[in-house]
Amino acid sequence: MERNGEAAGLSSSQPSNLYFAVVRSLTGWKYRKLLADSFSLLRLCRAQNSTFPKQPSLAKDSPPAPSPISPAPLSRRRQNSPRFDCWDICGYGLYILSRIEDSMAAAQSQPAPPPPGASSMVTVADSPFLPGPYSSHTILPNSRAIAHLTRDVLQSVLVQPSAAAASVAAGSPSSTPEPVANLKRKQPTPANSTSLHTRFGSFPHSGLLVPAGSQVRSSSGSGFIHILRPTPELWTLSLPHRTQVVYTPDSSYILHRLRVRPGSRVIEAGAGSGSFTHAAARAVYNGVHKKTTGGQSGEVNGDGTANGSNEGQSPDGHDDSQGRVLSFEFHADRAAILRHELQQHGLHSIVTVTSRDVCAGGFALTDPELDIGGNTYATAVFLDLPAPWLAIPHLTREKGSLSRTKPVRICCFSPCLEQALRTIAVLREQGWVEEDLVEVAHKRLEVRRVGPDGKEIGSKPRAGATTEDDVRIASVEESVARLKKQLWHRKEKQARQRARSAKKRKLEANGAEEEQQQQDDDSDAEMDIVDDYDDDVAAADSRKEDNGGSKLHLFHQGRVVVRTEPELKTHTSYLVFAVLPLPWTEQDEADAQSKHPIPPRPAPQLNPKTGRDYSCGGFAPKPMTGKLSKSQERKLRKAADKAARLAAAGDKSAAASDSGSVTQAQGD
Amino acid sequence: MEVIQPHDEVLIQLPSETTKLVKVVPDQIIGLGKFGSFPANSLIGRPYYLTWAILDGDNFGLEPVSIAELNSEKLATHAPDAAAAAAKKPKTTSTSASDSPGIALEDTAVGIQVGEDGEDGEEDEDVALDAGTLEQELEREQRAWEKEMKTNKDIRDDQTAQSMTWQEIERLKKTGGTGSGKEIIARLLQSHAYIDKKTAFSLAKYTKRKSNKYLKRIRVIPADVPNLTNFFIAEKEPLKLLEMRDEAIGLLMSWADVRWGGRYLVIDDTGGLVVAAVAERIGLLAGDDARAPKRVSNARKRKRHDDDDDGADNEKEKEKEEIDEDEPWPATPTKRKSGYEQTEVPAANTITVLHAQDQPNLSLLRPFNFDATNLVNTTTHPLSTHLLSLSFLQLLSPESDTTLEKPAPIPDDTLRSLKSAKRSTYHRKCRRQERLLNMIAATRRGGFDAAIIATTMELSGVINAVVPLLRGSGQLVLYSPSVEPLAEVADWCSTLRRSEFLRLKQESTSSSSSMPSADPEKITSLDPDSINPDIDAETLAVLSALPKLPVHTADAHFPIDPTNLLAPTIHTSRVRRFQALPGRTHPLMTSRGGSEGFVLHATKVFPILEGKVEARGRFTSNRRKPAKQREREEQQKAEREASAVVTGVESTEATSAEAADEMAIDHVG
Repeated sequence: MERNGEAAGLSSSQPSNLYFAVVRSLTGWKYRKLLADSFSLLRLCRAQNSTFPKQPSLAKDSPPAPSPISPAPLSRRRQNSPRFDCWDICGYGLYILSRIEDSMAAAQSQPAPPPPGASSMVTVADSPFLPGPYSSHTILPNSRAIAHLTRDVLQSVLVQPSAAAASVAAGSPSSTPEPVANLKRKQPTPANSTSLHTRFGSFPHSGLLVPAGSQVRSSSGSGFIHILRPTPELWTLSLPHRTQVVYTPDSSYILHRLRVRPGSRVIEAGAGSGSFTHAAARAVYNGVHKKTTGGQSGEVNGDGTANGSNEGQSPDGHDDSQGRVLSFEFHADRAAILRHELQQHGLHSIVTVTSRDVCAGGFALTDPELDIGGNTYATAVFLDLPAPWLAIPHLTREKGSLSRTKPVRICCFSPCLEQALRTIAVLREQGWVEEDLVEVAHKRLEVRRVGPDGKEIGSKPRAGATTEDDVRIASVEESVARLKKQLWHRKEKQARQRARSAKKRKLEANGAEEEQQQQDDDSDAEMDIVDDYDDDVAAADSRKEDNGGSKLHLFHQGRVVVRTEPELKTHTSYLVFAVLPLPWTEQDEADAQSKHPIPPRPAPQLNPKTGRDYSCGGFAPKPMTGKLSKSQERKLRKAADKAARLAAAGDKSAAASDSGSVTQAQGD
Repeated sequence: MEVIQPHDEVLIQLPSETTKLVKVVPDQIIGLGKFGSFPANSLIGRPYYLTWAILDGDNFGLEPVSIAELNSEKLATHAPDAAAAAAKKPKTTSTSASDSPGIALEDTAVGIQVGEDGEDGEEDEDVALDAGTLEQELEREQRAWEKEMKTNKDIRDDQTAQSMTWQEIERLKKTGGTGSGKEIIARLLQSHAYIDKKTAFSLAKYTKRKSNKYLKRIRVIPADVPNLTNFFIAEKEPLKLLEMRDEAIGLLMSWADVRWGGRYLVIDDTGGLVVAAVAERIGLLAGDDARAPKRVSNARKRKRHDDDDDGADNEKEKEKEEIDEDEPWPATPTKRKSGYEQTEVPAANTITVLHAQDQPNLSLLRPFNFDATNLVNTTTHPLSTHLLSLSFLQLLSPESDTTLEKPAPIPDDTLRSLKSAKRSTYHRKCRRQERLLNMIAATRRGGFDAAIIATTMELSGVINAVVPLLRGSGQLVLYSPSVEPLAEVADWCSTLRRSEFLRLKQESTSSSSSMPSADPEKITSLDPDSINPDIDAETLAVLSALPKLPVHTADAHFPIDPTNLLAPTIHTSRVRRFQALPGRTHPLMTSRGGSEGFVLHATKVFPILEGKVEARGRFTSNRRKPAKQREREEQQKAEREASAVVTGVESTEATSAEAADEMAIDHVG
């Protein structure tokens, strides 16, 4: 700890230096590093349940920063402990950072009319999935990390370096076995294990407290893994499957189309394994809003960007502007496990898991103890149920399950077309519009290099595969040359054979000089073999040259090819999207008209050129600008002459009806 | 209430199944060409997603269309009965139809709209939905379908089937008033020779075609990122957006782990679509601050003008503008430093845009009430503080940038004597310089959560510039309309290449001989040759104190540092839309072609640089045993050199639980 403080350029024996550093950090960037360090330290301590000094109140309406002469938090601390230790750095750093954030927030949120729910304050969730001042760049004890073994095999690990912490976790009532989600093989690890066992060796948890993204060697030093910060995507790939999982291609598209944004409230029914839950929690997260302004230890005011504050102005009286996921799962055990996981991941303040069959019980959450702002009031609904049409009638604004101030979007996730059609029928009946039935076809692509012989570069030759099977011809030229060689060779051979047999026959006829002839034959045969051998060697040499001959250039050989992954998910589910618009009544119409009165239809203004009405969106005649060209002048003069003539004629015959043609002429 | 506010940009879905981007300016008229026009006031305060009928004739405005009516038309539940009614009626009225349309029309209109048979049909359906099991209902549907089955055997394909002439239609349109569209359709159905021979589905199709033509119905949808994407893809130039569809944006945002409070690096050649998507995901487009400003200064309005092709609007706007020019800008003595005036850079929830040109092209942000080229008007917009833009020059070589020059300092007493306009200009220049310096410092400090790149530039340079700025386990996400550039990137990180890179690097470090390709960790410092002499010493001191980025010197074999990126993976996703009507469900017959859209994501990692990096895993396979033995021998010979030997497919073949064998692999690839 001392080291940490010194690393930040401070020695613990110089509190005044520290103080000035901290004050300077208000304006400059120089000491932000220190603060970041103290944060990680702080969190480390909290995680290890060390005794931690009380933080100064960090609420927005807390007394202003202490005057430079007597920094109140420091002096208070010094009464308790004679030594000025790194806890002071942590605590005071936190405090200062909160002030910085405060001032920034105040500056950003402009003419800042205090949001309706002004009494609530925003804190930052303590979750490795979410950003916040705690999310230091290192993996912290008791937090989730993802071990990246290969592209396809990810293993989640709850880093618990001390056996005590592990046993505490194991002793908790709703404990679950540490999930191991190598899809290929299940190897349940005991929950109180303090090291991670993989096929690449074992990794003690204490060695995993490294900056996220680090490569870590196994304890034996022979293998390695990468330790990553968890994201919903990585969690989806590594979570323990309890049900069929909604994968990233689907969930990303669904969340995009449902407009799940910071501050949204999402109903999710059929939470299942919690894959979508995590993705939705990330999407709705806009800080954790607390009604009480009490200075809880470690609370920091979040970035004051205005978002989601619209919900607070609703006439419903619920003033909860926090983004929430309201998750329903009718399987009680699954709900409990999910709740436990969310607790582990620090997402419990964002997700409310309810164990209920929504088809029967509906979506209302009126329990005041839940502290979700009265009722669900969702703006987005995701139903992953076998029979969503039974649940949809429960989704109404009247019952408080849907937002009364915003249009609500729904997505139903059904594998079968019949389910989807039935869902659409009910949605139409219930007044949803913009219904859309889609299917997401997602592919992962592999990139390889393929050599001129059509074989993948870098792949090892298969055991037992003979080279003969794999001989491939790369080009027409090669084919021609090869065939030519082969055929000519054969032809020569046949010719030689014919000559030999002819000789033999001759000899048999003659019956003499048998011995010598035999030797000639042998030498011929040997020569054949030597020829073949030379050819092969030459071919092999040339092939080696093609490949560059050295290992350095192997990765640069051949051409890059792209193909689809070997196992393709060709169908996951049909997605039914729909929107429930806000109701609009006669009364609303009258009110709106009184506010913004609708003008009467303007008199038509005809474009003399086209004869069309341009007051209502047609093209207006272009105003004459600058000098007229000669031809234009001539035209205008002609038109005027004609009009004059017509007028003269009109005087005579008093034909007023011709005036129309006059204007037309002028227009031309 | 989330309703249409004055000055909002909205999308209007037209009956022609096209969409139009319209700004709802109070007291103006929104013209939709042949579909007529309506006052903008009749939209203000109304909710989105409702369907409106444009009133014509003497009435001016919009009239809501009930959802039940829309659905019944869509499902054509009334159609067979209506057809029957129509088939019966013409025989009686056909002679009089041409000279006295009014009488005949009333009858048919009634018959079609509130046909008693039709009502019955709907009730039946309700009962079935409530009580019937799925099977029963399906059976019933099937039977009904078979019963109604007709063919087009007797329908002759000629022009004489429709006896109504276009002159009659025009006359109806003129005289019609509000309900003229419905009347025309009723007349068309009535005067069609083969209407009773059409199948129910074909009749529904015919009716739909005619309603699209004659019923002036619009639906107003909000101009949010998904809707705008669809609009630009379908109506405007999709190439300008790099043909980025919803699916691709979803994948980008998910894999980049975009969440509230993060810091994101964006390179955006789509004109701002990616920035808008990120901004929406981190809550920068919500809230009252993101609304259109009440007052729009003249410069911006004039710019609008040029883009706007709506003649009528232009006229009105010009008048208003003139009025505006007379009013002085309200003087606020205690004006807080806000938006772009703020020199500090927010520490979180930011989007940093890197651009190749002098200015970023973020024109697509204008529907979100943010104009990057004219910040004066959007100071309160959250993006004005949280959107930071740097050119590559400012990022990589800030010392040679001219925008970092401080204005010539003016002493205080002269400053006080200056005119207020000049004084404020001076202060603004100082602030701009300070803010830019802060932005450069914050960006160079790195630690970004993700880099989202949709660019047509050469990717190796982009990756080399961006990856050092990512935090560990941060995501690099690339979008490309075609797969080839991404395949190249994946190939640059191939296992063979990486192991070779590591080998070379270790050789060079052990022998301490500097090989050009194996010595990528060059340190950037201020290059004395490229320092702009006009930058003052103080700024230079700040710049030289900036953290040095590791620079990879690209060569032909290693365009990027292959050790920093873990498992680059290419995805492509495409949505297939269906027509979902009972008995007529099928995928849409046509949809947009063009590029598929590919997304590559990789994770920034820190490799172990010293010592050997080698993965030894337990794998089992009978087939590969000899190969492995060979490898092991090789390895023993090479005293376990630090090259990771390659297998690409080990993970998929590692299932058979026989004869466990240890082999050296690089399991990252």
